[in-house]
Amino acid sequence: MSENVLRLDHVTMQFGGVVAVNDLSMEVNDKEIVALIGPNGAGKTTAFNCITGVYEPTNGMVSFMGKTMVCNHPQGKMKKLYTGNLYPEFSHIVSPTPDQITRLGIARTFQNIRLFRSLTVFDNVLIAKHMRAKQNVFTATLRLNAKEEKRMRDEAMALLQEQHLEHLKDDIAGSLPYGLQRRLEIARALATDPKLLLLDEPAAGMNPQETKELTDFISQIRHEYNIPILMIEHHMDLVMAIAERIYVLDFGRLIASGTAAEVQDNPDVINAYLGVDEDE
Amino acid sequence: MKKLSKGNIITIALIIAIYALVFVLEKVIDPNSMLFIVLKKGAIYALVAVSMNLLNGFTGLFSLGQAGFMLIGAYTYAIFTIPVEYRDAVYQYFDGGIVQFSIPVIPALILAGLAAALFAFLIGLPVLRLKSDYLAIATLGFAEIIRAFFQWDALGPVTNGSNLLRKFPTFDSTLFPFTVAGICILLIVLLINSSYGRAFKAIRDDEIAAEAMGINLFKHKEMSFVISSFFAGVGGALLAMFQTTVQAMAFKSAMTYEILLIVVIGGIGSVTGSVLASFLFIACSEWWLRFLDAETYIGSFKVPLLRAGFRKVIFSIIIMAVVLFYRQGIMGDRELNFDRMLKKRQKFIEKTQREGK
Repeated sequence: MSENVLRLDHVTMQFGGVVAVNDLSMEVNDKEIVALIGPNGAGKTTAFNCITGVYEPTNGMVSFMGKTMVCNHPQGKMKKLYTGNLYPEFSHIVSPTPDQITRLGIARTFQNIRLFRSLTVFDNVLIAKHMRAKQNVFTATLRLNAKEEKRMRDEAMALLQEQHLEHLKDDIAGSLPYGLQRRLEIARALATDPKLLLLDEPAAGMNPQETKELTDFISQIRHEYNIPILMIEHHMDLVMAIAERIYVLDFGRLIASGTAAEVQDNPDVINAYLGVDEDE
Repeated sequence: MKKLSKGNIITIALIIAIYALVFVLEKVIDPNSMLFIVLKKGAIYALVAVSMNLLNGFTGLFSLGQAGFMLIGAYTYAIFTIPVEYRDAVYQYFDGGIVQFSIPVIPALILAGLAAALFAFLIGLPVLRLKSDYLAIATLGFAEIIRAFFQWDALGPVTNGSNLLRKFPTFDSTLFPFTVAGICILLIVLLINSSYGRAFKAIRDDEIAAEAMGINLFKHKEMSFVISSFFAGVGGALLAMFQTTVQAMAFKSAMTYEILLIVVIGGIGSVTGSVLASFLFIACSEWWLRFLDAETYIGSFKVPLLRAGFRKVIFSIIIMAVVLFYRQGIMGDRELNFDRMLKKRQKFIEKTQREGK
C-alpha cells in the first residue's frame, strides 16, 4: 500500500446519464512512468480531471501518498441517475479544489497548452513559486519579502537552466514555437515541486522528430527529479518506449493493464483500437 | 538593495520634476485658473482609473461597481470630518445627526478606503463567483443599489438622506490630491510588480492554468477586488474634497463609464496609460472642448452646430474613433519604460553608424 504514490479506487464519473469513467481502479508507484491510453472519448482526460480536482467524481476515492485526497458518493439528483455499484467505504466526502491538489504535490499539463501567454517565460515559471512563498500581500507590496522573492527568482532561474530555456527567459510565452511551449509547460509544472507529474497528451501535434526528443526529455525528467509520471498519450512509439505500465480505457472502462508487450497482444485492446469484425 | 537602472532613475526624476512644476505653477499662475481644476480632478480620476485597471486590466475581472465604492468613500469621509459645530446646520432635518465627533483628514481618508474595502469584501463573496458580463451586471446593480440606499430617509441621521453633505475640510493646493493619488498609485504599482501581481496576471491570462499552479482563484480575486475598492474609496473621498459637497445623486453609473473610458483609452493593463488618459480626458471634458458648448459668432456669422451639449457629440466621435482605429489605447499594455527607450536609441545609433560607413 505504502509504495502507491497515487491510487484510484472504483472511480466513476457520470455526467447526467452519461458515464464517462466507469469504476476505474489504478495505481502509480514510486519512480514509475505509467501511461493511460485509449481511443478518442474513452474518458482519459476525464480521469485526469477527477484526479486534479477539476471534476468531483460521482463515486469512488483517490488517495495520494497513502492519504485520502478525493472521496465522494452519489448525492442529490445523482442518487437516482447513478447506474454503477455503490461501496459503503466512500461515505465521507473529500473534495479539494485544483489549487489545493497542486499544493499537495500533483502537477499537471494540459492537452491544449495553457500558458500565461502574455507573460514572459521567466514569469510563467516564477508564478508556480507563488503558492509556497512565505509572504502576504502587505509584505509583498512593501517589499519586506525581499529574501523570499530572491529565493523564488533563484529557484525559477535554476529550473530554466536545467531545462535549457534560460536564453528565452525574457520572451513572451505566447510567441514561442509549439514544441518549446510544450517544454515550458512541463517546466512550469515542475516548478511547483511536485511529487507526481501528470502529462495530458504531451506529444499532441508533434512530428516524429519532436516526439523522439520529447521521449528523451520525459525519461530525463524522471531520472533528474526522481518522481513518478502518469501520462495520457496517443503516440504509441512514445508510450511503448518509456511507459513501464499501461492502462487501457475504452468507453470509460478499464479493459487491460500491464507492460507494453502484454497490452499490445491483448485482443480486447486490438478490438478497441481497430474495431471488431462483425462477420467473425 | 537592487541598484536602480538608468531608466528607472529617469522615471523617478521625471515624476519629481512634475511635482516641482506643479508647485511652481501654483506660485505663478492665478490659483482659480482652469489649469488647476483640471490637474486636481485629473489626479483624482487617475487614482480611480488605476484602481479600476488593477481589477479590469490586471486581474481580468470586468467590474462596473467603481462609482458605488467611490460613493461609500466620499460619504465615509464627509460623515466623519464635518466639524461638530457645523453639524446642526448640515443635518438640519435630522437634529444634527447621530455622529457627534470628527476625525482629522488623513485618518478619515484611510477610513474611507477601509469602508469601501469592507463593502467590497462582503459583495465579493457572492459576486466574484460570476464571470465576465455577469460580474459586470452584478457590480453595476450593486452600485445603483448603494446610491439609492444612501438617499434613504431612514438613514438620514447618518447620511443626511438625499440632502447635501457639506462644510467638511477640503484642500486648496493642487499638491494635496497629487500627493495622495501619487502615494496610492505607487502602492498599486508595487503590488502589481510583486508576487501577488504576477498571480493576478496569471488569473487574467488563464484561470484554469492559474489554479493548476496552486493559485487559489477566489482568494486572489477577492483580494484584488478589495484592494481596488479601497483605492476607489480613497479616490471618492478626494473627489468629495474637490467638489466641497457630497450628494449620492452624483455617483451615477455614468461616472463608472467615464472611468472605464479612461482605462480603455489609456490602455487596458497600463498604469501609465490610465494616468495619461485621465488628465487628457478631464482636460478635454472640462476645458479644451468647452468652446463647443457656447454659441459663437464670427462677426455676424453664427458658427453652425455649436450649442450646449455639442461637446458630448464630438466627444462620442473621438471615443468611437479610438475604439475603431486605436483599439489598444494610448499605451496598450506597456508602461513608460526609459530602459527600453534607451535600448532602442542605442540600437538606432548603431544602425545609423553602420549605414554611415
